Amino acid sequence: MTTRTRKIVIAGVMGAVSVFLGATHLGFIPWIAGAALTIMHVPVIIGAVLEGPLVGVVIGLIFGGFSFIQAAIAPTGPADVWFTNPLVSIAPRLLIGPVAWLAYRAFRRWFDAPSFAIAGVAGSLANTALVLGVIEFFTYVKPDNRFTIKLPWQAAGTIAVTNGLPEAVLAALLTFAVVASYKRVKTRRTGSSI
Amino acid sequence: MPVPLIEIRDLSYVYNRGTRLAVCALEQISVEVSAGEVVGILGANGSGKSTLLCHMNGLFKPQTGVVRVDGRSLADRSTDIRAVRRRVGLVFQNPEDQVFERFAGDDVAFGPRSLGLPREEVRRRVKEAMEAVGLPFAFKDRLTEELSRGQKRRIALAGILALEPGLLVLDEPTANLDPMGRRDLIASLKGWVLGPAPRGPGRARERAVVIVSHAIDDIVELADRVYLLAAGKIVAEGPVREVLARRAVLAKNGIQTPFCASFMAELANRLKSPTVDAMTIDEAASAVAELLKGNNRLQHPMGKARPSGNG
Amino acid sequence: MGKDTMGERTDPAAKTRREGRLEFDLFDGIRIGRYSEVHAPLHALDARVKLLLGVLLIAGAAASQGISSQLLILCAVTAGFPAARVRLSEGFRPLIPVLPFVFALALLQLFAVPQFRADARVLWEWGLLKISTRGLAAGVLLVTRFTAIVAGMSLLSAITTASDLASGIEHLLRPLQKMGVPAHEFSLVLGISIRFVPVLTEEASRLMKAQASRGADFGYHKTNFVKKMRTMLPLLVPLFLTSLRRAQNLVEAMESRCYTGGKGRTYMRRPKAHPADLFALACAACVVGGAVVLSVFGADARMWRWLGKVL
Repeated sequence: MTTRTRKIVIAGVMGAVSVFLGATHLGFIPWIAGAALTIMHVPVIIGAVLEGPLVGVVIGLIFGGFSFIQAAIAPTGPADVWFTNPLVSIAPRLLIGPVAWLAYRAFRRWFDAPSFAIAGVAGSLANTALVLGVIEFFTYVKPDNRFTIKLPWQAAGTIAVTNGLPEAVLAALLTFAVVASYKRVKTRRTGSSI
Repeated sequence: MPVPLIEIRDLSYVYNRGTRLAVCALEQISVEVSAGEVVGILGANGSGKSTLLCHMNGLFKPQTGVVRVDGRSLADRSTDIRAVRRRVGLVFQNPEDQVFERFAGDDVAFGPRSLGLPREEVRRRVKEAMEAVGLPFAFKDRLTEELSRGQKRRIALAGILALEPGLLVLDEPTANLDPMGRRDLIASLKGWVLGPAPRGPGRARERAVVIVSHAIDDIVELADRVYLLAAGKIVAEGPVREVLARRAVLAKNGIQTPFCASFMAELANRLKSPTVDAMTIDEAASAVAELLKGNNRLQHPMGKARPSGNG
Repeated sequence: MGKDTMGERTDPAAKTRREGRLEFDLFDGIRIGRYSEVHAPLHALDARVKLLLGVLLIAGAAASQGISSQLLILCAVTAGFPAARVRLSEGFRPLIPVLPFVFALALLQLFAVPQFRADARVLWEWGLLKISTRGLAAGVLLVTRFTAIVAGMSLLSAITTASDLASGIEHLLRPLQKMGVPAHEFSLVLGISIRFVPVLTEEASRLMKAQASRGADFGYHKTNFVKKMRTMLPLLVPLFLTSLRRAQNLVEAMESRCYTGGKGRTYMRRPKAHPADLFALACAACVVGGAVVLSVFGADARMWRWLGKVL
């Protein structure tokens, strides 16, 4: 089985899952204060863990591209104002895959299955940090407000904690559940819990 | 007269009602299932089977007409839909796709756990459910991804049985199964309707099964009564053998007669002798065996020869 | 395959209220953008040109600094709607849900922009809050730029199908193939994604019904975070697993059709550029060029000065 064909197909399929999650309410899990936790980035992480960093970049590109198109065509919330800037919606997402993959490889030496969860956490935090970072960086560097408006540091910090951390937990859980099942990995749990 | 387990009266449903794309899926459907019965709903693809199915446990609300489970209307605000879904166990096509836990036992336990039952009760239910589908309790520790399709399907079915429904509704239960898998599944279903051991003669009065399918052989083997569904309408109903003998009605609605029936009819034709009413392979085999023993006239396995002709 | 269109995200609550169904089947209307079936001059443009127009739009709006530039782009887009037979009310519809946020942010701009520039005049002061001309300019710029982009993308999505998107990207990237960029592979990935989304829609719909039928509760009224996660897993994990399984099948299918990569592949249909395409591109280029010129030559500064004199 050619790995190349496989990579192409996994990238396509996971990209579709990401788009699907973003376009329906399934991709957003309601959280406090009306905001929602997103899981659109999880297909990127899973694709990267299964097939490597390059596939992760491609899926990230699809995720970011869709996020951008959605913000431009059918914006739904305040975040979409920033997401019309491709530097905010696309560029950071390209790195989610490689970061997740690196985390997975690094920890695989010591644990087997938990490394999936760690990859999930790493990828999710990368998404949160990079997106918020670009928004902050952009507005900080250009005082005459080229493209976006200033998001105060405090707001970014709050979002990072109240949204970013739970999202990381969710991503870890989902990545673990899917990849451990798919790869039929043996973990410490050797049987059902009943 | 006991209340039927499920009663559907004059149900109609139109998709995209009021728009240009309106499609009438169901028209004035009336179906009734009482405890102890196995009822078949026979329909080709596109006949409205799936829509009807979704009405049976409240996934869809009827647009016109009423659906009653244990006498309570599902449209009633006071009806607890979750309780209805425990009472009516709906098994969709290819149920193995819905298995999500890593270990088989956990997946079966999902339902009872969602109900908040104590651990011992969950364990008991899982054990019983797995035995009902013919899997040993030790299977609970197997990885779901390692199971074959047939095994996974049985786990999925067990997951529903663990909720201890009174009415089991199945959509194309044997789709994509190999003959052995099919045989095991049918045996499990027959066993389930009889109720928990010890089993007395006849069926337990509490359980019922509805099979919605286009596989006529499944319905012949399992059902007592059948409704014929075509283009959203019930075009025939009655005891299985009677309905399936009406070959003209079947043909008009795109349903193939059971292989055995056509075979026996053709045989009778060639031998210029009366047809025998054989619906299953076993009956046909007995009839042909009789024939070969030297009786040139075809005998019904029960001893009655019937004149040939179209129903 | 589902509808070959791009459409907007539907509002699930309204849809279910209209149809009387419970919370499932809200995926029926999943589309991205708003392709209109009418055939108007702009629909006939080459797929690559449509994409290039999009790129020009974004680049133009991003590169130009002045409000006058954005207004120019906005005017051009508005003129484009009749050419695509899209009503202006439909075209500007996507803006409505976000307008409150945009205005809120613009308001923030008003107060938050630091007054570095010497020519910033303070228009109004109240304690710590100051509105300067710069702030006002920044706020209006934000609103107009956002409007221009959204209206432009709305127009483009009205004339672009999903096929156009996939084929446009593939052919645009083809020259890059010679430079070693795997354009063919990437557009194949995109093609697979686009065609797979409707499959996922159907799959998710089935999964939701199946899991609800066996005890999963999808109500969002659960406040417990842990509980929320537990309800999402039965839906999400099988979704991923079946996607991966289908991916496997697709790989095998591709290979059994002798797919070995992009080298030497030919196309059944090769896109050809017509005069109309070049004309459209030229118009767009002029508009964007004009916008940049206006921005560079400080048309905005002149405008404010004039306004300052008038007020």
